[in-house]
Amino acid sequence: MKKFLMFSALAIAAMANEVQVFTSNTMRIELDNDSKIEKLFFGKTKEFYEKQGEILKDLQKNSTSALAIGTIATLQASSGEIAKNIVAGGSGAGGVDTNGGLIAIGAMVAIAGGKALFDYAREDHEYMMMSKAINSKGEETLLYTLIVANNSLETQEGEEMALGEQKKLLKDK
Amino acid sequence: MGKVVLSVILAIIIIFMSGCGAKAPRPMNMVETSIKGKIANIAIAGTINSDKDKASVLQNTAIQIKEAANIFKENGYSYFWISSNKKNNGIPLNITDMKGLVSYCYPQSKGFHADDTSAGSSSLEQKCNLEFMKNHNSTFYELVPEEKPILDKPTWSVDQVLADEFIEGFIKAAIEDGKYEDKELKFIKTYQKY
Repeated sequence: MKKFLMFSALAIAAMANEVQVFTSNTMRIELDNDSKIEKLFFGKTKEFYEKQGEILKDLQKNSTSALAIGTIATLQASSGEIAKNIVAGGSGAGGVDTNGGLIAIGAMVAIAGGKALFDYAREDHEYMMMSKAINSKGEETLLYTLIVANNSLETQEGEEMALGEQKKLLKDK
Repeated sequence: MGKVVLSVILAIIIIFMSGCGAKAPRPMNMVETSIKGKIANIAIAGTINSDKDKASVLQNTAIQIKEAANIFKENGYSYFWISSNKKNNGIPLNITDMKGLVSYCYPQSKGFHADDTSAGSSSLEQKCNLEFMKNHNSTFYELVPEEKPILDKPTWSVDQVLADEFIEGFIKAAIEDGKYEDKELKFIKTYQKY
């Protein structure tokens, strides 16, 4: 089970700054040393949330994996459906009583979707790397690495740190 | 006669104003939305019990996430992700377990008890908006279930949440700090079906 543990959170000292790094592997597949990691994005989180939709669209266009296309499409369809249905329910309740209010806010949540975090994220000193990884069995996953630093990082410094974290997910066969 | 009635009314008002009257406990609200018989999401608001109000935001969050995971498991879902709105919780999309949530939101938190979540001066402190959960009756996040992992979004694992000793630590501490009974850790549930 441990080898499938997708999440690693660690605080490391780098360049005398306090830095936190969080990495996740969306499809929870095992990555071996023969896996390939391809960077799709590295930059500030604000920029990431602005471009995320575009990156995913490109990924879907270029992907040869039926699984990948299926999972992205499923998410988009279900989010749309949730938003549509909750909006209908919220307006019916009038947003006056507690439950109506909750639902109306719920609708905002669903509609805001991926942009929500961008609105609140502290854009300064938070960086995101998004990569596509394919293991030797041809299974695809996306790796997200979030770096939180007290001070700003040079692009190269941040990229190397994020890639280093993602490479830690590669296990010996 | 009129004076007696007036006195009684005044006495009642004074009792209410003085805080001697028993306040009704206000458990967390949880709205479960189903579409075509399947759970689409669970929206959460409030704190576990504003009358006692001793649970820390992290204890609340642990209880909420575990309760949602229980519901998802009962309904056959193995994963979920946390959505948010403009007044969002600030939890980044690739925070997918409680330990990560604590170290991102409260990096200098020292333990499970309410007093352990310190408010320091580091810029890494309190990056999330979980504070709002206390004494506010509005939604701070939704948990959206998934049957399988999804490619473009990191997910929390239901089984991992239910076996998470870190989450258990917060819940146990909440019971100790607030002198709650297990049975008091309940939600007011509302169902929306489409």
